[in-house]
Amino acid sequence: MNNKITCPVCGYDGFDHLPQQYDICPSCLLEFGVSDVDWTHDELRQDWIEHGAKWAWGSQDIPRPANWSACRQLLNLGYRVTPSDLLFMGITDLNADELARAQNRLTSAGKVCVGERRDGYQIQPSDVTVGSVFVISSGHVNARLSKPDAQSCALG
Amino acid sequence: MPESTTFANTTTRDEHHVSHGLEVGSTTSEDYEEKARSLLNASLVDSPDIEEGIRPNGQILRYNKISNEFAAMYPTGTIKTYFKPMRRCDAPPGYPTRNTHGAASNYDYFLRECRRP
Repeated sequence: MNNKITCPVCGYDGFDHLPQQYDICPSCLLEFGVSDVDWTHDELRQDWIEHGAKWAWGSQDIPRPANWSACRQLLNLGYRVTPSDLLFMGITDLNADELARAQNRLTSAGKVCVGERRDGYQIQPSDVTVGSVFVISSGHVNARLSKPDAQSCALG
Repeated sequence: MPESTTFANTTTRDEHHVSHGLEVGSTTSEDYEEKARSLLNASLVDSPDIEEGIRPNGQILRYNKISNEFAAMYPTGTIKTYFKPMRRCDAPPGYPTRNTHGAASNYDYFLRECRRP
């Protein structure tokens, strides 16, 4: 049984004690009693996801747990990633099972595509594979897909 | 006025450095801690730009109105945080929301923190 405390923003569940003011979550860098004074946990979670949902926001200076997965960790909160979350996050840290579940969700949610390129090509769930890289810039989602004919493109 | 010492441990110091190091211009967590200590230990007589407040829970807060540096420590001298407050509306694109606030100004942020229980 896991008696550890869970971060309300990212689902990190490694706290040994109830976080005090100024304690920082090593995963999403929420500073308790600082970051969450003016912003809700939902707002902070979305911001973390839109920045890629990376461990320590991509810093190497805080040791990352082995086999860490943002999607798996978010499930600690009951939060399930959405197709747009996947675009922000990339899915390179998903294993095959998680990938299959993500793709199923894309389909079962009635969304047969995760976006449309400016040339009209409908991006299919099957285009989203391990190794897909998504880059956000200038208000557009630029997707670099792993399909042979894919190229960097702008969505939306 | 107690003299500030260090963060509670190097893990806490490193986490704060990762979160705030860029905004305060420190390249190492040791440098980050030294900058925090410098603000918290500065003489208020010799540094008129620095204001100090004591929160109801006893925490000591300091704010440099010119350099926009904010720091907090326990009455024991243990450093709790050190950063540059940033209004959300002033934040550049891509700036993390977690390091912004909604107060009217950075100085108002300091005053608000002094009043918080």
